[in-house]
Amino acid sequence: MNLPLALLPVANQPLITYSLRALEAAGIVDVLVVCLGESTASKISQWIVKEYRGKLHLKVKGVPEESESAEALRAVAEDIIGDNIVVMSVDLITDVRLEAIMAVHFIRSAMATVLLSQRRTSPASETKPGKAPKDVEYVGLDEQQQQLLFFRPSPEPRRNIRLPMNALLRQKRLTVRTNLQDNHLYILNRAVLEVLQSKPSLVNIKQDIIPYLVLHQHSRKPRPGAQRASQQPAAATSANGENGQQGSSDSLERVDSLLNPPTSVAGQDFMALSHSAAAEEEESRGNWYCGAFVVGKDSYCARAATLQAFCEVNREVINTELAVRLGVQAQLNTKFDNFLHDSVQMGYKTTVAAGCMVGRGTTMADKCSIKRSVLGAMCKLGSNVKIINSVLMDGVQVQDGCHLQNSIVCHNAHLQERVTLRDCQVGPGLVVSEGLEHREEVLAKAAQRRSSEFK
Amino acid sequence: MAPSRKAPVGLAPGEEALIAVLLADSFNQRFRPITLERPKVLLPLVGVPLLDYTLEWLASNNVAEVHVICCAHAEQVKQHLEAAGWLQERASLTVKVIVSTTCKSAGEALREIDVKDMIKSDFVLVSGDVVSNMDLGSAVRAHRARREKNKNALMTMVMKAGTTPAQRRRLGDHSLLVAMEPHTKRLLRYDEVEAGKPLPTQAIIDAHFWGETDAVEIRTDLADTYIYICAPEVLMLFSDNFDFQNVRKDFVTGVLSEEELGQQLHVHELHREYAACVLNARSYDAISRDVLQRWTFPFVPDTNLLPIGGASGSSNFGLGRQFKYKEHSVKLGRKARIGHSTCIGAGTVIDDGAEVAQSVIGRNCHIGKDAVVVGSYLLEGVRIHNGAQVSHSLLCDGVVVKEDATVCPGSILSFKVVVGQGQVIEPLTSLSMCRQLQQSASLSDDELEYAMAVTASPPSEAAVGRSPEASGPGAADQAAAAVSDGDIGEDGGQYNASVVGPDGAGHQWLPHDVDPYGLAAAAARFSIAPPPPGPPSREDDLSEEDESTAAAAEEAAQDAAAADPETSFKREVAETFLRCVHDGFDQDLAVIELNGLKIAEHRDFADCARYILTTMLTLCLPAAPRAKAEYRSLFADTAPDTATPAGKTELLTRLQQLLKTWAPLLQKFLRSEDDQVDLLLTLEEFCGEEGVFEGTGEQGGLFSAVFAKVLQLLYDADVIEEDAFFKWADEKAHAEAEDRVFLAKAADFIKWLREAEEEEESDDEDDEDNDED
Repeated sequence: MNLPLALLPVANQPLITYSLRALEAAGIVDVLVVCLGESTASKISQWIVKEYRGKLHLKVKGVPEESESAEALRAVAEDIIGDNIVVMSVDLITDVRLEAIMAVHFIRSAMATVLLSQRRTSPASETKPGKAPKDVEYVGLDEQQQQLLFFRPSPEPRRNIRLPMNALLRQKRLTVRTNLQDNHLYILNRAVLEVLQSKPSLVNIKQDIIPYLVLHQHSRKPRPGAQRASQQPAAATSANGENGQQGSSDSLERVDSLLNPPTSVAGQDFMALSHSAAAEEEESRGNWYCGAFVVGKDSYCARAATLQAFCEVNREVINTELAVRLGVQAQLNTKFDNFLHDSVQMGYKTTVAAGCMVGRGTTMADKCSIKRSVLGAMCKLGSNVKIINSVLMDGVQVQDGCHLQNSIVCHNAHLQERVTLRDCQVGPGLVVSEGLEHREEVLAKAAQRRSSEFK
Repeated sequence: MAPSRKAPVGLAPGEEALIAVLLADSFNQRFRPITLERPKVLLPLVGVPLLDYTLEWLASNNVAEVHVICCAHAEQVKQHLEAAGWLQERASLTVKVIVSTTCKSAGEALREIDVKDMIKSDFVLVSGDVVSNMDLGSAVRAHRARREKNKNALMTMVMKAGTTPAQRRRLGDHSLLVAMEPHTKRLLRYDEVEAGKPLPTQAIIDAHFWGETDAVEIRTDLADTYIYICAPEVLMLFSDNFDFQNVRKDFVTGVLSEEELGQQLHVHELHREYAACVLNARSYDAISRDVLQRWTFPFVPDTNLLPIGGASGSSNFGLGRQFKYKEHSVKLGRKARIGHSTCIGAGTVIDDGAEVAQSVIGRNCHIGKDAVVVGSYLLEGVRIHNGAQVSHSLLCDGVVVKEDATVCPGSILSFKVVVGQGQVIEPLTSLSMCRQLQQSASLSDDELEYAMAVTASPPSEAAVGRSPEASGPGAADQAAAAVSDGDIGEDGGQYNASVVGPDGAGHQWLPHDVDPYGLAAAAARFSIAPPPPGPPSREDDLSEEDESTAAAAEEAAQDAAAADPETSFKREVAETFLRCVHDGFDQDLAVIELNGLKIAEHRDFADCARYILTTMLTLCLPAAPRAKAEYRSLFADTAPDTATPAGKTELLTRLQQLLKTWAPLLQKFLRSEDDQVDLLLTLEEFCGEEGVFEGTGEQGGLFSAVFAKVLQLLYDADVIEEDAFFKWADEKAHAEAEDRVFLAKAADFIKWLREAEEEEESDDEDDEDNDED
């Protein structure tokens, strides 16, 4: 769609604004936005110059296009200042307070903290008995649900799971679950960067680094750079569009910032030496403690990593309560439970159902029906248009009698009369001639086609 | 002594009555030589025979009927049941004795019961050496509830949760790795790691478990209690699978491995209740201590619940401070010192200055002046003379330890053994009045017992005592034991003075347990001697990194192999073929085997042929790193240096030899010209180490130097015909340059073939011409 993922609108705001808002709210100052490819980087830079109004110090950095997440992190390591780094994917939308996760990370003085949430559907219910589930993470937590004891992402079904025996013996009982999902938000100690440098074979944060850290958290090796602990700690944060198999995202970002240094307790070292019990506990929790932050059931956590997820996220975000929590900037029409800009003009017998959003200056002619959809600014709808479960970006023209379902229409596209779209994506500026019917198709100008494909 | 009390545990009145099957034999030899003369279930634990603990516990759970299966020493067990009053008609519990002296394993005993067709409902299967105070009711109710919903929930295994490695070491039992569903408690995996054997560094759990449940709980803190609640179908399963011997090793593993049948096992966890099984001397020691320290309440000495037979009638233990139990008629010398955790039976005399600590002293024992008894178990009528020392040992009825003798830790002295004056019994020694026979190697266990009965005193007991052994130790081990045992066999009836002293009596028994980790280590592990303190050294950390990365690499490789059906089919064919070569199968048999594989995998003949050929080629080279150890000997030792002409010749000679034998097999799988062309294409891949041959370490590349010659050999062996060669060459002629490498190599050969054919044709023509002439 010619737009970097980070700039795709969710509820008429670029995806990246959600991440940036969360980072800003957590008190982070410096953000490094890591992008795949220089062209993406320049687009994001433009957007920042033109549109961004927040307080964060943003710095955009491009990395080679085919970089995996850890490679990207390695490439920008020199620009990271703080002692702890928040790495997040731009497609994550959550109302979990980032500062809460960070606090947990600091309290446990963890090497890494991973944000986990309950899957909405149980992977076992989607898998035939006798087969291994696919696209899951095998996660083992301790009984307090705090320490990450086992972590193995498995995009493909695997034959078996290998658990390190020493962890099992230490833990006595370990429940390995597949109904938790990783949300591509990691808080890493700076020491991880050193691990990253010494292990060039680790290319992906989720697939390689976290499993590596979890596996080695009980090793007696001291943390690399442990002596730095006394220095002023800072949080370097990085939001990071995951460049996974879906190839869905194309921008990576990162944030550095300074937090207030915690007041150090006098005589801390002496206490550590004299309290053997405490020392033992230290041992049992491992030098490279890997923590988990499990999201409660009432919190929202979703990733717009695929087309389907993108549509879903769009719809869910404009759930009124959630929108408030996420800081979506739009006026709520409490009577109809939807978001309609004041300047929207609606014709005779046109209805906009609850849970919809319509942007500034959009006009709708007679007898239109909009359900569970998000319409951008300055769209123009003819009469008798039905839009269900769809996302229309800014400046889209839809002529009389069109039906849209489960589709995404990019900015300035033009649908002529009686076009019917189902499960489609329409590229920016494209004209769909009248009367055509499309199903499960990607419609784009030939030149755009490659870059625009979502999946 | 009759258990008339109404226990607050067990089943509520309204529920269906419960039946128990009690195996009065543990089908192993851990307690030899004691078990030659007395069955293990009658061995007293803190004064009371083990069997009585089990029966009393069943009675307290309102079990209605107990079927006691007696195998070894059946008469003794029966007599005991009679004497202890278990066989009398009583309201709550009926004990029925089934004598079946031919059974050699739990499996056989259960088949015997199935044949008798006595059990129609769910029952409790328990071994006669279990000490427990658990409430069976909750486990049985859970079991029945599951059975209501699912008839296939066959068995509920009772396991003790929360044990620490130290506790398990104390029991000397297997380490157990259990995987189960956390909510339903369905057992998914049950792995025993033999005691003393190092645990594997990784637990490998099948991923398909997560296809049925989102969470799998992996436990290392469970200990099997040998209490099972079974559906009647369990007996049927034992009958159906006549090779099932051991409940855990065969039945549990069998059911879990045949998930498709839908049969399920479940786990009932014990948290606060006690249950343990006397498996060996080490656990005998541990459980005795647990009894003394009241974990097994109400089954502790001072409740005097359990019957003690014999002259002194029922017991009247009292409890003093520090877990000191004493019957009324104990005579203590004025300066005798009694340490904590001690139990002393009636009629025992302990003289001045003697010291007894952490020990159980049976009735009518005598401990002389200044004798020291620590951590030991003295059954009835044991006499320790003045100044003798006994530590951490088990001394059976009538044992005499003479003045100033020493019995070192871990020893077992069977009935009536006499230790001579001043004699030192080495640690971990077993002594018995019965002799361990030299010729035992050539005898089956039955015969061994019989021979024993003839030579050894008291014949009456031993004659009955055809102690059935579970799938006994390997003959080789016995042979080894017997040979080293030679001196004992030779001295014919005389006792070895160097072991028991000139005035002693008893034969030494050498351990002959199957144990690859050293007999001494095994003996130590199961002995009464205290386990070494502290956890075993954790070597996990330093080597961890390499291991894990190596393991990860291996895993990746395996996963890749699994993911690619072609690779796995190739491996299957290769292994089948290697097996045929290894076992020297007839070619017809090999054809049948390979055909079976072909059908099973939906392949065609050519598929088989190509991997047979490549396997044959690999046989000319050293084994690939992933080759199975058993077939490694088939491979060549060294790789010939194909850069030299000598090396080439060497390689080709090897291939020629193989082709001589196996060409007919290949021919059978090459049904058409197309098949042969396929074979050639595969050969190319193999030599180029591409596709499934990539990165296998099979060094197919070595053959590329002699590619044309290999073709020649195949041609000569009639594996591939000219036409196939031509077809292949024609197909390849239009390929891209990089795909024609091998064609170029073979160009001369093809050319030669074509010329030969033309000649032949012209010859034919000539012939025809001649004919015409």
